[in-house]
Amino acid sequence: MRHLSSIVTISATLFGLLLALLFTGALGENPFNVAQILVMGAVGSPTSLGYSLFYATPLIFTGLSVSWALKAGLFNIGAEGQMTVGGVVMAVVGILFPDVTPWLAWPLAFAAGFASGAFWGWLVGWLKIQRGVHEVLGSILLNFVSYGIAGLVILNIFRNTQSANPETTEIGLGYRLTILDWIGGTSPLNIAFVFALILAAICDLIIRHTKMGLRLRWIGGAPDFARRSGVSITKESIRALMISGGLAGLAGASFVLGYMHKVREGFSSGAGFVGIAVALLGRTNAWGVVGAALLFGGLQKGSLDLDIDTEKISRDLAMVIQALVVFSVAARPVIERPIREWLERRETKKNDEVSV
Amino acid sequence: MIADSPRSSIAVEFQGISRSIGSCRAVDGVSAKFETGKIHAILGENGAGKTTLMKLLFGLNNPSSGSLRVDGVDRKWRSPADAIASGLGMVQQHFTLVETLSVIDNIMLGYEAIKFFCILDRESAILDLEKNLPSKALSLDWHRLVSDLSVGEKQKVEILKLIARKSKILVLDEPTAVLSPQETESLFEILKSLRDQGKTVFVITHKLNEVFNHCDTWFVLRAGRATGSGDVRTTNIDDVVRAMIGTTLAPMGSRTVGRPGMSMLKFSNVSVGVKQLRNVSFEVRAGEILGIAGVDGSGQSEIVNALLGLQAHAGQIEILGTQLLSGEEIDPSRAARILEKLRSDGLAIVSEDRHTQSLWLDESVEMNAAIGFEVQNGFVKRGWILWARWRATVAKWLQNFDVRFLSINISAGRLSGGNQQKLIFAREILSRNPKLIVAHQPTRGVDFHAIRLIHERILAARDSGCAALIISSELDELMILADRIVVLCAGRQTGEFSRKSDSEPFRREEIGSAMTDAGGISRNEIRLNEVPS
Repeated sequence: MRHLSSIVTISATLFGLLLALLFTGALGENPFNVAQILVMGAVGSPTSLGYSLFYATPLIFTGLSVSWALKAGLFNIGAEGQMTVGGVVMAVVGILFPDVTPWLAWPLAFAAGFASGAFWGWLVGWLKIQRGVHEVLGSILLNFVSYGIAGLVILNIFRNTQSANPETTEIGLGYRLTILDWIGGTSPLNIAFVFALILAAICDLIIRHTKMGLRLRWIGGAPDFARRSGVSITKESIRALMISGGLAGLAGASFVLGYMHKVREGFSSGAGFVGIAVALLGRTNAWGVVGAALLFGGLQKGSLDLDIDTEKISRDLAMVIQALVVFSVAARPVIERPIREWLERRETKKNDEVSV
Repeated sequence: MIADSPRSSIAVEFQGISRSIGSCRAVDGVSAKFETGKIHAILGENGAGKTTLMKLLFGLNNPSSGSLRVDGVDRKWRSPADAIASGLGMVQQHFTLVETLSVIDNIMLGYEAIKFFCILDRESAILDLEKNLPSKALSLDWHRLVSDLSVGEKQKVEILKLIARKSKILVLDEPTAVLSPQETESLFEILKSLRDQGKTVFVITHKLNEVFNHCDTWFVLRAGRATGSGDVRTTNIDDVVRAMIGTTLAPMGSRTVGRPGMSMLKFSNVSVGVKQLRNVSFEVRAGEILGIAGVDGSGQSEIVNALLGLQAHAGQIEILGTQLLSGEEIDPSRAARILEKLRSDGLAIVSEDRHTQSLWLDESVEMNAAIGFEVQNGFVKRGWILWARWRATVAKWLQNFDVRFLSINISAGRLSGGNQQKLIFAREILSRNPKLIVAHQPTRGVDFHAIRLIHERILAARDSGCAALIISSELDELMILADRIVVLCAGRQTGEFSRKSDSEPFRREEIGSAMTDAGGISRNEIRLNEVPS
């Protein structure tokens, strides 16, 4: 009973993958062949696995970000913008102070990323509380503001004039995150992935076992009850959006620190938006988010191989597969409700028999 | 007017009809006959089963047992469409109009007249409608957008929809809740003109003056049962009030009169909103229980909202020695801070709607039993929750209040109403020593044993020096609990009574008449209205 929803979510995910394979069959490919390439492409070699985990890393951060706000009943769809701001501000710190030692550089960089993302989240909350702008509207519109600011910083202030790309100069060497080469192969997988897992564990603990987490879930789950018990919905909402923004800011910071070492226009490449799907697929549970992010990361890597190794399938298939998975999970209640009702009927019948 | 086919003079007949929702019987064995061509008032408190009964009539729900006769024919609806086709129509409390369409388009929606294969024939629809119009008062500019209409006009559109569908039996669910007094008058003029056309009208309401000024018969539901009915012209208003507030609770035996101490809650000339609460003053002292009586919607919710800081008020409110801020607007985070302090100082709150206002239905029983008081009870250490301590303490509280559940991990939404309410009282009373209990409808929809237990606990708290404000529309409950009773009617304070002897603590008739006067109705006025028009 307790694990029912997880079981249904996993089955729905598998069902979506199955649908996608049938779809490739309809395109004229051998579905078994496609499945093999997809799986091998995602986890078949150390390099493949490294790339899958590398792709999953920012999705864990943004998925946690969206989940945090959703716990409070707030829909933050501005993770993309918060991630952009986090990455840009962190890069500015890294460019201005290039010679900081690694042990100071990492905390400094992550603090800058978190703080700037949190500020962007606070703006969403402030607009909602003070000016009555719904958080969906506020957060998505602030995305565009963040793109503008990023463009300004990248092209006009810290532009690398040696490069043909729209990008900044590199951050100090001390800021670079350690590459996890013990996994083998030649992937850019770095320690940010480990940080993401630790962060997921911390989020899970805070949400389930602290007063702060309880308040967060309370205003999302029973807002009238919370208000009548003296909880300030305003204060808690703003705090939730700040932390959500901060987590998205970490996504941007970790990406720049671990891989690019500079900021290029559009570096976030949709990770903030995929984070929404990750949060929903993971049912806003921190470990669920990790699982969903790994799935999406693997799909991304696997479908790159499909693009190369098959004739008819392009990398856009990854998007199709992701969409089919999200659709089947979204349709979950259709499957879950009858099962749950059946189980409950059986349970009450059993209890009736006991009490008689 | 003469009906076009021979029909029975009984429009609607319920025969022992029941409807269960979960373990609760929303409508319980109701039998009643309603004549054709009259305006019938269906009365009762919130949750008494009025709306459920009308939904049964309309096919929105199916009866669990019993049967329904419409125009002398046994009916078993498969869907509301079935009922509509047989001449029934319902105006819901919340309008079902498309704001972006015109009046006539809204009326035609679903029953469109067509010319040249696919063109809407608005002209013939308008002609048809105007032919059947019972009164000029219903006439509107057919081509105006519904979004431009006033609330009263929107309601006319809803009624026009039923006229266009040739409904013979019309049901209106609390039609005057959203109307101004003038609009109410004109609504009833329209309903009377429909009646004069031979249609049968049901009006669900809890405003007694409307019943006595405009309706032909009355019918009272209480806790799902029919507790009274009659012809308005031959009825005394006290009979209706008695049927509504009932006499079902058994007395608890003797009780002592409270010994009041310090002031715990004081309202001085408090007003809320435009007319929801007007110049109300009362005081609750330690060791006494003040009851607030009155028909639902007389300003009870506003009292609670004002003292919780959720609704702005004029005048002065003092709780547990704290003066609340009055004024035009409320700063929500400041109000929350004050409320949080009051809660930890000993304010216990049992809100009216337990499902949304006092419980977190999706969470466990264990969580619900202490949430909000985790710090006071030492369940939190440096921000981390000590679940073992939480669980052990809460288990004792729940046992103390005899809350029954299969497992402490089960969600609160799966408890019965009685157990939910006991859970709330256990949390509010045992989580700390309350100095003031504010309970709004403490036992609504709760089984007998739970009522008894809750009453005992409130009295025990009072005896240990706690003050209590009990707001209830069950007069019997207040008779058992209260040391004094303040009566509200239409937002005004219309009486205050003190407890006398144990055999007859309060004069029921006095309280009953205070509950109905001041709403623009007195016995003399009713007699005037008895003169047939």
